[in-house]
Parts: sequence; structure tokens; C-alpha cells
Amino acid sequence: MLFLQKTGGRVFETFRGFAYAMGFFFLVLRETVLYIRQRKSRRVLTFQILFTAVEALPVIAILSLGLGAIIVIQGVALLPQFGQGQLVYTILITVITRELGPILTAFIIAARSGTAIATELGNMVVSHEIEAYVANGISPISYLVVPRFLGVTISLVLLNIYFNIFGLLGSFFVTSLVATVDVRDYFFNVLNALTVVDVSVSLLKSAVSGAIISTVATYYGFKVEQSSTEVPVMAIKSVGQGFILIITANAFLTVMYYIWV
Amino acid sequence: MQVALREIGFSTEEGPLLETISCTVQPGECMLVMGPSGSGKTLLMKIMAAIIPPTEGSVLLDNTQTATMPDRELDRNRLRQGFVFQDAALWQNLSVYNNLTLATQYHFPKRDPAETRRRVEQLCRRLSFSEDLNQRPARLSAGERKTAAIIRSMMLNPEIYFMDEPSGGLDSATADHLLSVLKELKSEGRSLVIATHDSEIASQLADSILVLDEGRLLAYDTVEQLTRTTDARVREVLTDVFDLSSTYDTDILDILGSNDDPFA
Repeated sequence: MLFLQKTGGRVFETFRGFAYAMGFFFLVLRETVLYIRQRKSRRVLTFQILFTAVEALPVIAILSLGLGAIIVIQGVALLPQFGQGQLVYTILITVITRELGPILTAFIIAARSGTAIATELGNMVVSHEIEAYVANGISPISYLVVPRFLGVTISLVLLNIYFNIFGLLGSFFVTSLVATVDVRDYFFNVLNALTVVDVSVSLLKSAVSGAIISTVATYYGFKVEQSSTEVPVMAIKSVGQGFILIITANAFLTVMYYIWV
Repeated sequence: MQVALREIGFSTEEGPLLETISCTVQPGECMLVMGPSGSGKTLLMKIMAAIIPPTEGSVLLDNTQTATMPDRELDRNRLRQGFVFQDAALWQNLSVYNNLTLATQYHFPKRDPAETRRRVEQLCRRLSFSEDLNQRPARLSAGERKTAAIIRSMMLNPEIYFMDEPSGGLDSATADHLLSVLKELKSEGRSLVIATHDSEIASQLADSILVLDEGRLLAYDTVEQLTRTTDARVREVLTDVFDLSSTYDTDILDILGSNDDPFA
């Protein structure tokens, strides 16, 4: 009986938490529309893009260059054995543009900016700074969450484009080391393998991941109640939960891609 | 601005933190919120200022329930209130100047920045705050942070002030400046709701007192009435800031049926 009671309690809590999180998400969406209309507090948005996108550029560049190189090395070594040497470009686009670009940039930003956002907001709750915003008639959702929501989402889309450029450049440099490849031929083949749908799906995945990271991070930041010891706990939860939701959303969009295209 | 609580309560999963409290703060009135540590003074003030909604009862701002107000209207009403937190609660990621001016910049983006700067300078002079305004709050002492928080609350010239231990951490000179500023505010018709252990503020400003004990309303009345109370628990709380010995003597004399000193 006690087991059933505990299980029932947990299920109820999970549903309540889910309903609360969805309410929070829709509130953020509503405030985002108002924010775009009213054009308030661009300073926070600018700082968020600077922190999320600009400061992450070196990590993303190294990762994408390396990854592009690895894919080409493996492709050039394996595919000609099956007489499919030309497929290396399709594989590059599929792996870098459609799959790894959106998901790896999302993981980096979830670990980096997601944690920072959850920690920052959690500390603000503990030091009553959030209440100070409310007391001054400034909505924390509008002033703190929306710029982070937009900043992370815009940054992730931009970082994905950047990841793709560096990934494809990296693969070119490696290709040019192992074989004599004309720059024009290489980029002609890459662009030939690239479709508008590939780009759209890739950018959509990044936008969805950005929305997930920022919403989850701000949600967990605000879940801190009183003690500073809750802050790291919530930051860890935001990253874990963020990773799960990012993978789920990306898998869902990939399935949708194969159903519709 | 009139603020009223109607049988408000606040509970968490652990139990009630405030139970069935009603009171009204009239324009120009100064109400003291008193009680031992952990009695719910800060929570009560946050509920009065509509920062935290009560779990029971209602908060009325000029006879309109806050629960029925749209968010934007509630935000507009909050501009008519100034709140000073016990720990100052300055925004650590902003300079002191931006802390003081954020609400102005946010709500009145078209206001002339020179006018805002003049207002900051005027209030800094009024409270003898001479620190570098470009530094972060973390570089200020506790007393300076509290002074900055008081200035922040005064920036938009609100109609009612909620101050949680406003003189806590202040040196005696700044505390004196604060007392004179509070007197001026009261004479201008501003309402004050103050949680304090400062006997100067209490004796010179208070019109009414609300006494809390473990989240329950122990007493709520005018200063004259409450300082004459015979309730031992209320007297215990009040002796923290009021000298009740004389009023107690008067009470005894009243009971004896004479106000004349029998030993004269």
C-alpha cells in the first residue's frame, strides 16, 4: 500500500512538474512576442549573444575542424573500396550539416551557457535579486528570461552555421593533404550535395535546441528556493535534463525528415 | 496609496508561515511590523508589496485585489511602491549607478538621462552617499549597500515604502540622515511600513504597530494603545524598541483610579 502511495505520489509530482514547466514555457513564449514588439532591454540580449556565441567560437571551431577532418579521412579510406568515393560529400552533409552540427553545438552550449544561466539565476534567487526586480515592477521573465531565450536560440543557429563552415573547411584541408583536389571542385561537390531542406532542418534543429537549453536552464535557475547549496544541484539538473530533451527533439526531427522528404 | 490585507495566510508544504492577518495602511501612515526573528515580518512585507502572493486571503491596493490585476497593471502599481530589502538585494551584475537607475531606464526609456542623473545626485546628497557609483555593489560595505538600496527605492518617488530593517548596518550619522529622510517622506504624505529594531525610528515615526509571533498576529493597534497593553508577550516584543516603563506605571495608576502620583 505504501509502495502504491509513493508511486502514485511520484507520478502526480511528475505530471505537476511537467504542467508547471509547460506553463513556464508558454509564459516565456508570450513574453518573447511582447519583448519583440516593445523592443526593451536589448543590453541583456546583446550580452547573452556575446557570451553564448562569440565566446564559444574557438571551441566550436576546433571541434568542427577536427570532426570534418575525421569524416573525410574515414570516407576517403573506406568508400572507394566499395566504388562509392563520390558519397563522401553526401556523408559530409548528412553528418556535419544535418546531424552533428546542430547536436554538438547544442551540447556545448548546454554545458557551457545552460549551466551559467541556471547558476546565475539561482544565485539571484538566493540573494533576493529576483524579488528586487519584481519590487521594481520589472518582470523577471521579460527582463531576464526572454533575452536569454532569444540570445541562446539566435546564438545556436549562428554557431551551427559557423560549425558547418569550419567542418566543411576542415574536411577540405584534409582532403587537399591526401589528394590533389581543386578548391572549386570540392566546394562544387559539397554544394551539390547540399539541399535547402538540409539547411532548413539543420537550422530548425538548432533553434529548437536553443529554445530547450534556455527554457530548461532558466526554469531550473528559478527552482532554487533559499539555499546556495541548491544552485549547483539545479545547474546539474538543467544540463542533464537539457541533454535528454535535445537528443529527443533532434531524433524526432530526424524521423520527421525521413518521413516527409 | 492604501494597502490592505484581508485575512491573508501563507503556507508551504512544511506548514503555515503566516496565519489570518488583516491590516490596513492609510496614505501618510507609518506602520511598524514587529516580532522576534523568524516571526514572518519580511514575508508579510513582501506580501503587502505584492512581491509574493498570499496562499490565502487577499491583498488590496486602493481597494482593488492584486489577485485580479493583470500582470502589467500590477507592475505599474509596483512603481508606486519602494521596497528596501533587509540584505539590500542590489543587482550584483550592474554598477551601483545602474542599480539606482534601472527601473527608471526600464519604465521610462525616453526620460532625459541628465534628469535621471540629477535625481541620483540629489538622493545621494540627501543620504550622504558619496561612493563611486561606477563600481559594483560587491565593493561596498554592508551599510553602503543598504544606503544604495534606500536610494534605489526612492528613485521613482513612490507613494508607499516598505523597509526591512532600513537602519541595520548603518553608522550613526547615516542612520540620523535616514531618520530625517523618513520624517520628510512622512510629512510629504508617503506611507511607511517598517520592520525595525531601531528605537529612534519607532518612537519618532510610528502611528500603528503590527506584532507577529510565529506567523500569527499577536497585536495590531495604534502606538498609544499598544504601548499601554498588559499582554506580557506583546510587551516583551515592544520593549525591544519602546521604553514601556512609564506607560506601565501610568497603567497601574489608571487601575488604581488616579493619575496623580500618590507619593507626591
